[in-house]
Amino acid sequence: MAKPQERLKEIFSRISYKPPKTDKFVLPEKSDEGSTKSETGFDNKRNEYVFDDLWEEGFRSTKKGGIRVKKPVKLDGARNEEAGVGKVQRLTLSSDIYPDITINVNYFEKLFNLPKNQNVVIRRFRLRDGTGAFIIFLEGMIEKRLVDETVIKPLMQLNLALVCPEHMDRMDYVNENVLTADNTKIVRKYKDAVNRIVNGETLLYIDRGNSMLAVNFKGYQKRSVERPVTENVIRGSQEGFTEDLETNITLIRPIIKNKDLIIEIFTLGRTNQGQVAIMYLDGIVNPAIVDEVKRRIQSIDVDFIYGSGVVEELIEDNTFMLFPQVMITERPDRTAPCIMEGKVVVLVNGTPFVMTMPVTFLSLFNTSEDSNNRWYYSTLMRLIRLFGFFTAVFVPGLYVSLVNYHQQSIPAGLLFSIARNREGIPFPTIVEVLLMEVSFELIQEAGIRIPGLIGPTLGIIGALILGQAAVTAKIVSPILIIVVAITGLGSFSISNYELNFSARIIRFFFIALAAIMGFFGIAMGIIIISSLMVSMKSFGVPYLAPNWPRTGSRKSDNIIKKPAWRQEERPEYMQPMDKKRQPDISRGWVKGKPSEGNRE
Amino acid sequence: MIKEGKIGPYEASGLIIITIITKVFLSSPRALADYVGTASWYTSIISALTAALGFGFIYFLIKRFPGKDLVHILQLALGRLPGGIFSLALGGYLLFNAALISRELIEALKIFQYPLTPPDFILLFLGLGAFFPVYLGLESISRVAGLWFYLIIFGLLSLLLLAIPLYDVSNLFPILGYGIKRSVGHGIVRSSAYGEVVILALLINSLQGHGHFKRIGLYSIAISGALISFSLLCYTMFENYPVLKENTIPILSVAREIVYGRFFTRFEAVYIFVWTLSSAVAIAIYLYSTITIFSKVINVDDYRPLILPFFITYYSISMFIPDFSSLMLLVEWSREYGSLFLFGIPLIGFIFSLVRGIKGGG
Repeated sequence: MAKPQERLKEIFSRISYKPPKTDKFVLPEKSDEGSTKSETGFDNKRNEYVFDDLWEEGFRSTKKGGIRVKKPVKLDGARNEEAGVGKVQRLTLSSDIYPDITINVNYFEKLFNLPKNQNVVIRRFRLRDGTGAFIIFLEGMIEKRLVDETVIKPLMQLNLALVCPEHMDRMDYVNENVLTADNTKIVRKYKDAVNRIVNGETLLYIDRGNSMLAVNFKGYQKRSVERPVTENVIRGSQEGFTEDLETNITLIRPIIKNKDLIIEIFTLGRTNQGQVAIMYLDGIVNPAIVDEVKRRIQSIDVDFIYGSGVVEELIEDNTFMLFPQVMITERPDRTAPCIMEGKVVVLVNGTPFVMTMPVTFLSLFNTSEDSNNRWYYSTLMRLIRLFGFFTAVFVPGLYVSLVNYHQQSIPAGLLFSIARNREGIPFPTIVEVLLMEVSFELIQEAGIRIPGLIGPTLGIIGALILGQAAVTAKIVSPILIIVVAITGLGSFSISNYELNFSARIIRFFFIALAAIMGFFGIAMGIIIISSLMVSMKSFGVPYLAPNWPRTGSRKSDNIIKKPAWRQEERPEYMQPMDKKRQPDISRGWVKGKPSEGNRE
Repeated sequence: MIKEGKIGPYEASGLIIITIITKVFLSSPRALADYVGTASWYTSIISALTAALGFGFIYFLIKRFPGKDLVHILQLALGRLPGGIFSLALGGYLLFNAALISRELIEALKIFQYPLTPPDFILLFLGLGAFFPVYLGLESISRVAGLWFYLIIFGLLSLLLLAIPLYDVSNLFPILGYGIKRSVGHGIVRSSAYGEVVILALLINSLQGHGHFKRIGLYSIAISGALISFSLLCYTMFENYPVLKENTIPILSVAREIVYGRFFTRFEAVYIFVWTLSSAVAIAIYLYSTITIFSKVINVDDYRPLILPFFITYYSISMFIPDFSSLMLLVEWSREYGSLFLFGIPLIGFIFSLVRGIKGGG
């Protein structure tokens, strides 16, 4: 038991004023409160390094016979600008590589915030003739064993001064005669060097040179090729894209073994230097589409690029339209046919989803399985998916309309059934529908977010229990449960993930219109949505092509899939350079005759 | 110069056909039955033939002025001011027609579906539906028409065909109705029912040439003539002729009577969709034509700033009509004298261009 004095002290301490703690973390209110310029002459903001050309070793470079050599200079601390000594030098990312190892090591150390940044390794060593050199790379991004064996080891045994001809650049000599690495590139600017380092390449510098050699020994951890998660098929390839750009390119390459398959890589994102690649088949794709895709990608100026979703929003024609204007897929066997049709594919490093463009509304209902199935199976499936889309969009709205405004249109038996079941329900139909639709969306979202196997189980159990409980509690009618379930099934049958989202949002729009004006409201909504759709374009191609406007050739694929031998032409709306996919008679055997003795 | 884009023959034909056949969903079959009795179905064919003749004059006029639309042609043939006035008269008639169709639709909806909803609220919704395609331009209007063309035609035909058990061929007799003279006379006067084909002359620069213009116009008149005539034939067989003129919205009456077993009854739902979709498309093209005529006359390059004022005017005209009987009188006036605007104005332009010997670019 505490003494009374202590109790009083405790009470006083609780009611008395205490000054606030002042050792809390605060950020400066203005960005210029803390200077970013360090005392060493390095400006973090501009990546600029300012230094005096008084070299620590006491040497300065002069050009002699094409190569740079060092000459001793006086180290009395006095500037002698006439002799080029002591002149203030400024290095920035766009500068040419400075011909001195110490300056370069210093600059890279400043650029990469060494020694604070422990992920960057600068390994200095000497060649056999004493020439200094260093390699710089990111820890964990390269195959160290290969670097040791093919770069450091041969160089340490190299007497460069002896073997390199005078007329030849020393880095060229090393590249051509010494290193056994197969993927190398000489860079002459800091900007290029830094780009390659952050992309996982190893950069070599040899003292007194004005270039660096990038050696590609990327060897970081990445996910192996697995089955696609969002696009399952029964009959078809089971490979899906991964997060690695190069892996994704190599998944498409084996499907289209063509020398004209072009891959162009761009660096986007000022800070994170994200890699974006475009892929197309030269000679088939319309160059205007490629130019437009490139123009849009190259014009992007943002801080951070991660994932295809960001790039999609930055390059699509109209961000405020509900419908997807590029097709997202994680299947190489879905991507390759698009390239063969004359579309452009955009791959973004860090995401297993690639984008194909231009896209049309009806093409979003195709799957890679369509090509593998016989034409009438695929046609049936496409029509079912299309029906699923319309179900997902319209069924709850139609239910609200029928129950609220157009009871006379319901056959008598069904009308009585609905009326009986709605008896005792405290809510008006619109509240009932919104309640169940929102619950369904919650179950769907929760099912995705809950980890592991519990997710789908929760979805099913949640829907069953919630639905049953709601009906038993007389909060909603059983018919509405059927309506919501059919809507959900329709929604899941849509093969394109983004289009599924569009359907879910538009559904609420139609529910609102139906609640206000019944069928008439829905009809007006149809006019509004369809006029927006027909005015949409995806990279210059009308969204409802090839039917509205009519641009399609009868010999290309449309809603009804034609047999493989009837698809003689590529889609006309793509305006491909090579319209013909195959000759009019692609099954040569129908012209020929079976061998003697095997004829009927 | 307003950027109107290009539209294909399919979209253009769909647009004109939908605009013409919208009237069959409204009170027109009743009015025709009132005038010519059981002869309405072939009276409509006479109207179509008269309209084709009128379209012939429009075609020759357009051919005389390659690359010019009707507004510019009228200004060239009649002079800038008179041509402008005649163009505005045509635009005014189209605006008036849009208001009439809207009001007809609203009154019908009020009678049959939404008895408690104020008409101005229904009109607001209808206007909103028409506003989007008008704002997005001719390409959008024509593609929306192309998109829903088959559905509208399929909806209409399925209603008429599903009602086959309700038809009685004997209702077609007396086949000459109130007499051949009356049928032919009304057929000629009511050629305005197909007068929307004149809209093609306003959109000529989007139609990719005179050949397309002629083909689209004639196909549109022929197909819509066949559809309207078939609808009137079915409606005539549906009721005996004293009752024909009693139904306010005749095709809706047909749809309501369809019964197949206990479940498939009363196809009004199909009817409402078909009806409202076609009306919205028709109103959109009427308003678009009016606004672009006005823009061309006053030499404004962008028609979009004019949309809101014209929608307010359209809304006001539509709501200005006091009651249903006044509306019916105005509709009848519009059908009887509409040809003067739709075919008469181009004909005046044609005569003046011949007399003054003006052709080509002026």
